[in-house]
Parts: sequence; structure tokens; C-alpha cells
Amino acid sequence: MKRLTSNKIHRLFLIAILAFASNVAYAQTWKSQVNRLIESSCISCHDESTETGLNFEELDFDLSNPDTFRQWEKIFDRTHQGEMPPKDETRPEAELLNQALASLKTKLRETNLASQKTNGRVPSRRLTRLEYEYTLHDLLHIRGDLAKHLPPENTTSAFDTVGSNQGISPVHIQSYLQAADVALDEAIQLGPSPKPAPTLIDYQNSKYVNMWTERPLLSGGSTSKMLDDAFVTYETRQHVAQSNHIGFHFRTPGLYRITAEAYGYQAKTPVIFCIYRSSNLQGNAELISAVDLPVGKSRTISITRYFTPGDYFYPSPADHDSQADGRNIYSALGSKFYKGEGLAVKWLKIEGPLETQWPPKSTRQILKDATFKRRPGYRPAQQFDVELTQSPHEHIKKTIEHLGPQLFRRPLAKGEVESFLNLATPSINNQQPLEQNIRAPLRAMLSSPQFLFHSAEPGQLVDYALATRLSYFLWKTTPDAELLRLAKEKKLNDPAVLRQQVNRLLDDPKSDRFVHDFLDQWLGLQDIDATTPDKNLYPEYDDILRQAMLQETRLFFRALIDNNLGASNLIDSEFTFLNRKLAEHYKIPNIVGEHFRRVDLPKTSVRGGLLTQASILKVTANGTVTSPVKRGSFVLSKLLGTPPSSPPPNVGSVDPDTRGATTIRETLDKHRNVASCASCHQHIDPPGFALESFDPIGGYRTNYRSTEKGRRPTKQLLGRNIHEYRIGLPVDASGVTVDGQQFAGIRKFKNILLSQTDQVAKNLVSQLMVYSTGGDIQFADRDEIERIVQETKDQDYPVRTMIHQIVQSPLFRNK
Amino acid sequence: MKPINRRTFLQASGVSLALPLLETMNPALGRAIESPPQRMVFICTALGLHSPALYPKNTGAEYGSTEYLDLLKDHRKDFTLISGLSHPDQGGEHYTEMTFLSAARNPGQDGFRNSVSIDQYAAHQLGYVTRFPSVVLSSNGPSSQSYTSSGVMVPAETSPAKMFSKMFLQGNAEEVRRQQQKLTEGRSILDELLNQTTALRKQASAADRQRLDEYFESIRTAENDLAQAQAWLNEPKSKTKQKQPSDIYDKADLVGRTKLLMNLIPLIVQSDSSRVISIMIQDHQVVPQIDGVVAEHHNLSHHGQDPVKIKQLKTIEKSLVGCYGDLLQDLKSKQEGEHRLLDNTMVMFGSNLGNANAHDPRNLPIFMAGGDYQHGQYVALDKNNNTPLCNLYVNMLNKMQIETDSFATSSGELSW
Repeated sequence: MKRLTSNKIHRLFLIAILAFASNVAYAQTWKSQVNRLIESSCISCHDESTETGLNFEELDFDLSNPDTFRQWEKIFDRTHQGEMPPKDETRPEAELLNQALASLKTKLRETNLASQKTNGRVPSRRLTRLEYEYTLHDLLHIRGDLAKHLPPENTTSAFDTVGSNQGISPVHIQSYLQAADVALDEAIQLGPSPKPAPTLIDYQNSKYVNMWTERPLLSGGSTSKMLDDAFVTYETRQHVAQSNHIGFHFRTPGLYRITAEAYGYQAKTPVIFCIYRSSNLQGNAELISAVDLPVGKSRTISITRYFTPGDYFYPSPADHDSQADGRNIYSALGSKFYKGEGLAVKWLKIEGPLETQWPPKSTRQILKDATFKRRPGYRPAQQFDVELTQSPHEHIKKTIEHLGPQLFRRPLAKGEVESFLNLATPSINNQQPLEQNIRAPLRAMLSSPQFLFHSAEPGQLVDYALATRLSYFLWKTTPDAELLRLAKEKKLNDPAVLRQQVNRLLDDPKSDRFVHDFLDQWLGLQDIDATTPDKNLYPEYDDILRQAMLQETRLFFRALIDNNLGASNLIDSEFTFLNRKLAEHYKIPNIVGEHFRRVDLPKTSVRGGLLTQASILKVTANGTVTSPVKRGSFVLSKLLGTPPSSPPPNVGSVDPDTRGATTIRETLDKHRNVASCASCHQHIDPPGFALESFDPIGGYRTNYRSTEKGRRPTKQLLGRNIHEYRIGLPVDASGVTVDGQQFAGIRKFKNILLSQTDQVAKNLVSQLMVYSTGGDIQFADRDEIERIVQETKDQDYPVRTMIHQIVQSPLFRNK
Repeated sequence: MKPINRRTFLQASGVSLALPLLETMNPALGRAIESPPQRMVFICTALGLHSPALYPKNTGAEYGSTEYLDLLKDHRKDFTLISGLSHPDQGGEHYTEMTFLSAARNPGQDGFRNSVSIDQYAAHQLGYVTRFPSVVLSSNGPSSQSYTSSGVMVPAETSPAKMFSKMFLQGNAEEVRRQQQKLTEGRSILDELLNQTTALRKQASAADRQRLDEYFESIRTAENDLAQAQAWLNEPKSKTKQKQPSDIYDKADLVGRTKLLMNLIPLIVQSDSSRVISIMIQDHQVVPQIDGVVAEHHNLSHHGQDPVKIKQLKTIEKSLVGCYGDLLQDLKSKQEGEHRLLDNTMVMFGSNLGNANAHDPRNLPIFMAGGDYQHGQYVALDKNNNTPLCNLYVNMLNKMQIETDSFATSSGELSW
């Protein structure tokens, strides 16, 4: 070893001392600068006798402690935004304030960046249960419900993709083993081949159906009718028409095609032809198809849906008007006499599973290189025997090598194949068939940390990790062959390639998964069924309207991406997406048919933008009543990204009163006059007031509906008078924003809100960043978010451009 | 000689797995007379109980009756009604459903994570002395109020038929063999995953390592659970003269489904299949099939002071209180040693909402029956300054001989 000269040692020592000293000096500057501000402007309230949560005598400067960091971050924000010191206190000297804030900001940023450098911005995250399901669907070519076998995600944080909020527990482990079993059960199909021709659900010749059609009303029959050319049902939940009652049973899970021809019977208005899927286990029925039948014409439909053993389906009418005198099928004494509208099904057929080969692709992929021998006769339990073409270990090894890289999103590591393969040995030694032997290795892979966790080294993501993040962002699934190839060739980190891939992913229908999941979580659309409107107050609400509401919002956001439209559209837009059902709900004329289309809104329309979409108005209502507090809070937290502080614990909320004697505004005014409530509610309530002219299901209203007081409505519903509710007190949708701008209603309010487009854009960028990277926005990330906002500003923050900016951003491309 | 507690006995004898409950101990193992253990049952109706129909005017033993209490008049000596209990720092619509048994603060707020629920805490302490450390049931869907120590919901069993089968139906030799094989396979998979996790951990960054450690611990516990389940598979299942119930698929049959769940409780307790049970009665999102009810339960709970709705709401709630009464009757009519089964079973019935119309999480309605409490009273605690419900939980844990001074947000131990 070369000896260091004493001179050199001296110099090194000096450098070390200098470095140390400058550090100390710097540390002292930021602390002393901050301390000067505290002494002059903060300590008089925030000392040990404080009633606030902040006591500067206790708070230290150790920013490496996350709690301390958060405290200082909050201090920075509140001071920076001018909320502190309070308005009625003396302002701190400008130079003192600016210096303190600048040095605090630098210090917070430095600390945060240092931690990001060592650990990465986000810890490794787990696949969400939705991502687990999509991934298995795509890889194993199956369609069944797997998510329901996994524990629900923690829904109270921003997004379920955020690693630090995800739970992992023994419950998860057992659930993964079980869900993998369910998936393999569906993937491995050795039963009889599907029938080559469609099966007719023969209502006409069904003794069962005819019996119920003929049976008197009082004995539960006569809600259907048999014509020469069709079976007619008037009942929305027609048990008689259930496929399993006519002798059709699903034996194999898979995609099936239902074709049918139907017309509106005795119809003067369009009748909706619905098909519901249900099962005894499921209990409630799911609407899987709804189409408008034009007056005087029959219509043929063809739909492809997933069914599993135990399921059944049935046709059902909707929007079928009652008799001219207002009588329904019951008061008209049954189908023999009834003149109201019904659904006439001329024929209905089903075929499937729709597979081009049998055993299907899913089976052949898992039992790689095996051949299948048909057993003679009809064997519902197992029609095909699996025959080996090589040793069982060879077969299984090939499957592991085929699925492994797709599951783990990278080439398999040395020894990985063997360790999973070994799990098959006990079963092989027991002389079990291949379809048994393969299960333990696959169940292990599907429950393994390699599959379940996104992990990466701190620093720039390697191409495989980048492919994973990108694919789970826009497709919610494992990277496809093209992404894996680009990762292998180390091309994905090339900005041009990345840009081209983002476009490819967004242009593919699989990106609907992103649109749905992101909107579900961002806007809370997943909770649309959390409350059900009162059937008497809102008799027009049904499953078809509910689905149309969701569809509007999804298509609207989709259009912002596809056409690269600006974020101001989220506040107000000149267009939306409608079908007949939703257009009637919005009182927009001349929209025919169940299909959605882009509609330019009339200049005077109250609609346009997110807030006036029925889905949003529905999820921000409490079922039967609206709450300006809930809606106002939605505007602040979801649209503007400035959530109000939480209400003091244990306050409950306003005791709703729907009898019609008081309005929610009158009730709210009482607590708005309490000073401690008012400081937050002056922010929260105004947007909520502007939205008061929309009822809980998103209909425009000038008066509340009431159960007791008020006059009868004059309009009709489904060909009859409305007896369920009354027209109550008038709605007041006017208000004053916190900065004093007056509005008479929603249109003016949206105008005011447009001046905050930058805030809405910033929020959208932040939400997308959190969702896609699985990590909250940290202090050091703020500048980058701001940069993206500024760079898209002059084009009104176009949404697709924003997505590109996010993916290209270091926040996305680093761990 | 003082009868020894079953658990102490098992620990002392070095038997890691308990045997089905026996009237007397095997003389070869020890000459002790078994004292029946205490059990804890939590039943929560998630949409509250309409307080004007519930609480009587006067307190103490001389309380007068009310519409709901009328339904329990035969059991007046066997239960206590308590008001003025709640968990501190709760709020936000129906989020308190998550915290009824855990008392975690600020449910629904950003970054909220649940903490262990009392039933899972007790189950963990007791371990596999019974076939099931806990039984978690729900009337609709897998949502439960039971949470692991990492704040993950334990999915509920919704099928009474399946629960019955797990407890009593032995299955033929082939079925048992297949179950054994499945468990063995599961254990070897988890063993392998432990290896893989250890290997991955070595290469992982510090932040990721923490995640892998959590995963590793979860696998280890899951593996232990499978091992215990496998050991129990070798023990013959308890016998019962009752037939396996048929599940009710119709969600509108709220009362029928609730009854089936309640009927399981005496079976679980008597067979000592588990000592910890939680049941959640949920909103079924359909109109319950009860005479006079034409709207959904959740909707009616937001009655907006509409008398028509309140009347229907009370009709639903009366039938639920009635189910509770039937359960108490059932537990009273069965003997265990020298006591009624009810005396060895603490049955709490209540709700996570004090006033569902306003989503008010204070002043929760709480009934406590059974156990060795002094019953027959209405205990009204301060309604403006509520007592932590966890004070009652502390007391229940101690009665289970899971000795503790505190649980979650408790400020002491409740007794009356």
C-alpha cells in the first residue's frame, strides 16, 4: 500500500473538517432562519400551553423522522399559503418570512430527495385484486370472477395501488392459494365438447311456461302470455322465463352467445329488451344486456357473455308503459285482459362455450405438449384423457418456462424453474395424472412474491420494471409480448419508444380497464350502489339508468384521452355522451336507441363537465337525500384536490328530514352560523349549494320531492300518473363563494370554477401520478408536478399529453 | 379440588392441540374435572336500532319496558341493556362498520388502517384449542367486522350449510384423504415460498425488504394454520342430532337468513368448535320480506323522520331483536355441566351506529346477555361523554381468562 504523506493527510483532514463545518454551518442557517420566524410570529400561540396540535417547544429538527418531516411540511404549507400566522395577527417581516420559507423548503426537499435516492420514491407494491384477476384472465385465457376470492382492498386511501396502504396477511396467503385453485379449475377443461349448434330456449313448447301463463292471476300466473309467434312477458322479474326452468343448464364455464328476436308487444313507445344473469348463489340478478325495441318493429340481438355452472338467465322488459287508464298487469286482472306494453320474445337461442378447439386453448397451454384422447360415450365428468408425449417433469417444466416470464415479468432466474418443478414430484410419484401434477407448481407461482409484488432497485427502473409499471398503469395486467420484447432489447427507456408504447396501449380496448378503475377510485364511482334511492321518491331509477350513468362518465373521460381534450372539460364541456334513457333523464330530446353517442349540448344546458353527470350526482348523494356538504366536499377533494380538513370526530351529520317541512339548506344554516363550523363550511358548502338543483339520481329539479307535503306532480311516468311522491319546497341553488363571488345556480358556478382550471389540472396530474406509480406525491415531487402543469397550460392541459408527460417523468421512470 | 381450567390443563400437560370438549378428563392424562370455558359472541346489526323504540325511561333494575324490550321480556333476568357506550374518534357514514370490534380511530380518513378486532385478538390468544380459533359469519357477502393485526378483513362465511358441514360432517375416507392431500400440498407450497422469499430478500432494497418480511410472516402464519387444520382433520368431528341446514338464497329473506346464522351459535358452542364468534347482519339491498315493509332496510334507516318509514324500520328491527330473543331462549334451554349454555356464553348484540338516520357513531345500542354477569338492568352511561365500548371488551377478555388491563381505546374496565 502506498503511504500517504503527512501533507496529504493534512489536506484530507482539512477537507473533512471544512465539509463538516460547512454542513454544520448550513444546518445552523436553516434552523436559525426558521427559528427567527418562530420566535417572532409563531411561538406566542404555539408554545407548550397551546391548544393546537403544534407546539414548537417540543418539535425538533430531525427531518429523518417521518412524523417530524410531515409536521414541518405542514408548517411550510400553511405558512406558504398565508394561512399562518392567522389573518388578524401582525404579518411577519417579508424578508424574514421569505428567508425562513426558502431555507425550510430547501431542507425539506434535500431530505426527501436523499431518502428517495436510497430507498426509491415508492416501496414495492402488491398487485391489487383487480390486477390479479385481469392478469390471470389474460395469461390463462379464463374469464371467471377471481377477485371475490381475495380480501377486499383498503378503500379509504386514495388508490388501492399505493403500496404503503396495502395490507398483506395470512388471510391473503390462504386466499391466493384458493383463488389459484379456482383459476386452474376453470382453465383445465376435460369435459364433453360444446354442442356445435345453438340451443333453442323453447318457451312455446314448454309445459312449465304454458302452465304459468294459463294459471289464474291469484295463483301467481297470468303475468305472461303465449302468442302464435312469441312468448310475452310483462313482469320484470319473470321466474317463468328463466333458462334453467326451460331445461337449459350451463355445464362448462366460458363465453356463450345469446341470440334472440323480440318486439314491443302492444307498444306505443320503445320497450327495453333486457337480459339478466343470475344464480342461486349470487342471489341478485345482473343486467347483462338492454336494448331499445323500436315501435312496430322486431329486432334481433346477439350478445356474448361469460357464464359459469349454476348460472341462469332470463329476458325481461323495461320502460314498458301501463295501460292507458293507468292499470298495471295486476289491476287489469292478468294477461288475458291487459292492454299495456310487454316484451314479446319470438325466439331465443344460446350457444357455447365459444371455443375454436376442444379441450380449449386454456387447457392446452397449461398441459403443454400433451395430447387428448376422447373417452367413448358421453362422460360429463371427464370426457378426455390427457396423454403424455414426454416425461411428466418435461411437460411441467415447459409450462413453467412458458408462463413464468409472463407471470414474473422478467426472464426466470437460475434455479427458479427447478424450485417450482420440485413441487410436482410427490404427485408424480403418486402416479397422478398430468392435470393434477401441474397444480402445485402453478399454485405456488400464482402465490409467489415474484408474481404478487412489483419490486425494483432504487434509481432508474430497468426496462422490465418499467414495462411492468406501464402495463399495470394502462392495462392493469402483465406486460404483453411486445413490451417484454422491448424490455429485453433494453429499448423501453428510449423516450420515443416509450411514447409510441403509451399510444399503443391507450389505443387498445384493454385501456378501458384503466379508465374504469381509475374513475371508480378517483371519483368513487365504485360506490354507486352503496345507497339506493327511495323507490317512492325516485321511481324512475333502475338498473338501466344506473348503467347509463356510469357509461356516460367513462365515455366522457375516454374522449378526453382519445381526442386529447383539455382539463377544463372536467369543469364544463360543450358535449357529453348520451343514449335515449339518459337523454330522457336529462330532458334532452331526439336521442333514439340504447347506444351511446357524443352529443353537443344546447348552449343553455345545465349539463357539461363532470359535476353535472348523473353518476357523480348519484355517488355524492345519500341515497334518498342530497347533502351540500357531501357534494361540496367532493368538489374540493376530488376535483380541485384541496380536501377540507376532516370534521371533528364524533359529530355525526345532519339528521335528514324528508317530510317536506324544511330544506337541507335551512338545516345547514343553523350550523353554518357556529363560528367553529363556519371556517371550513364557507369553503365546503357553496359548491354543494350550486349542485342542489340536482336530485340524488342526477335529475334537474326546481323543487324537492316530498313524501307528505306539496302538490301532486302533473307529469306521467310509464303511461300512468305519479302517485308516489309530491312536489315539495323550492330549491335554492344560489350562493357566494369563499372569495365573495355570487352565483344564482350551477351555470354561473361552473363559470366561476373555470378560473381554477389550473388547480383541476394539477389535481388530475397528481391523481394519475399516484395511481400509476403507487406512491403518494411527496414534497420533492411537487416541482415536477408543477412543471407538467405549466408545460401543458397553453393547450388547456390536454389529457393524453398529460399521460405522456407523466410516463416520461422521472417520477414514473424511477423507483 | 378446584376444577382446573381447560386451557391451563392443556398447556400443563404439554398437549399442543386440544381435544374435543369432554365431560371429564381422561384419567390417564390427569384427574381433573373440566370447567366449561367462557365464549364470546358478537352480533352486530349494521344499520342501528331506532333508539326511541329501544331505551326505557328509568334506569337500573326497575326499568320500564319499550317496544323492543317487550320482545325480550322472557329474558329480562338474563341480559343487560347498556347505553352511553361508543368508540372515540369515529365518523364518516358507515365506516364504523369496520371499527365496531376494533375501535381503530378515524375510519374512512386518508391513510386509515384498521387494527385487530377483539374477536381476532381473542382467537389469536386462544389459538387452536378448538377446531376453529374463531368463527366469522355474515348475513350477506363476505364483509365482516373481524380484522387481523395487520388490519386486513377476515372474510365471513355466509353459508350456514357450509359452516355446519365444517363442524359436523366427517366426509368419507376418500374425501378426508383428499383434504389431507390438499393441506399437505398447501404446506409444501408455502414452505417453498418461504425459501423463495428468503432468496429474494437478499437482493431486495431496504424498502422492499420490509414488504417481503411482512409477506414472509404471513406465509409462516398461514403455514402454521394449515398445520393446525391438518392436525384437527385427524380428530373425529363432533356429532349432533341436528340436520344440516339448507341455505336460503333469497336475499329478501333477511329474517330467515339471520335465524339460520343464530341457530349455528348453540351448535358451535356446545360442540366447542370455537369459543369466539362474530356475526354481522348487513344491509341486503333488497326489500326485506316482512309484512308491512315495502322499502329497503338501508333506505328506511335514513327515515328522515317520516313516520311511515319509521314504522317499517321498527318492523324490521323488531324481527331482528326477536331473533336475538330466540337465540337467548335456545342457549338457556341447553345444559352444559351444571349450567345453562347461556351462562358460559357472553352474547353481545348491538350496532356500530347510534343513530343511523344521521350516521351518528355515538351512543351505541348494546345488549349483553349470558356469561356470569349480574343481569336484569338498564345501565345508562353518560350520553354526552360516552364511555369507551372497549371498556366492556376488556371485561369480556378477562372473563375469557385472556387477562388484560386494556384493549384498543379502553380507559378502564367496565363493570356494573
